[in-house]
Amino acid sequence: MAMINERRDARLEVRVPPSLRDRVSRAATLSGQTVAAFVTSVVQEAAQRVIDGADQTQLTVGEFDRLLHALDAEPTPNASLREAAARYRLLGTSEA
Amino acid sequence: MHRFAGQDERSDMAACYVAVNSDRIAGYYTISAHAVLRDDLSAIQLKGLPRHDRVPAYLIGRLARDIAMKGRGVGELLLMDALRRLALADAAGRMVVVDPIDLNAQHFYAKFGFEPLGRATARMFLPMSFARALFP
Repeated sequence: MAMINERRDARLEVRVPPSLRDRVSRAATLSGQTVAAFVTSVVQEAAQRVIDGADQTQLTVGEFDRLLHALDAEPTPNASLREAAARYRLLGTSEA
Repeated sequence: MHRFAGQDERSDMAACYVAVNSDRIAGYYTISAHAVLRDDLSAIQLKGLPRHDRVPAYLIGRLARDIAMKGRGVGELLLMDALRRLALADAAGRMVVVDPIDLNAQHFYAKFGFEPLGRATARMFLPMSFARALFP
C-alpha cells in the first residue's frame, strides 16, 4: 500500500443518514480517533478485503491438497463439456 | 466476440469480452488473474516461503447473457469462448475459477464438470488441462 508518503488531497464524499454519522462519530471517539482517521482506516481495510477476495481464494490444507491431485490427474471432460465445445467449434469464432 | 475496455481493464486487472448479435449485446464475461492459496500460515512462518502454497488460476468473475437470449445456449457459448481463449493463451494458469451467483449458475457450471473449490467459498474450478484437451 503506497499510502504513507502519498499526498492526502483526494476527497471521498458520501451522503449518509444523520444517525449513521452519529454512530460513526461515536465509534471514532470510542476508538480514540478522529472521524477522518477512523473512516480512513475502516474503509481502507474493507477495500483491501474485497480486492484480496477477487484476486485469490483461500483453501484449507486438505482442500488444497485435493485440488493439486485434481489438477495433476488426466483430463476427463464430461459429455456435456465435450458436446458444448463441439457446438462452439462448429459455429466458428469471430475474433475481435 | 469483442474485447471491451472498461475501468478495470485500463488498470490491467480484468478483461471483458462481449458477444454481439446483430448490434445487440447478447452477453459478456470477464477474465482476471487469480490465485488459489493454501491457508497454512504456520508452515509459511516456519519454513520461509514454501514450495506448494499457491496455484495460479484464471477467474471468470462474471458471465452473463441478455435475459431475452435465455435458452439459446448463449451462456454455454460464452463459457466455451472463455475456455478456448484461455487454452490458447500462453500463461501459467492451471485452472479456471468461476464465481456462481446463485444455484442456477452453480448447476450451469456443475453440468460442465466444474467442482467446488472449498467449503468456505462458492467458487468452483475446472482444470486447464480439460480446456486444453478440448481446444488444442
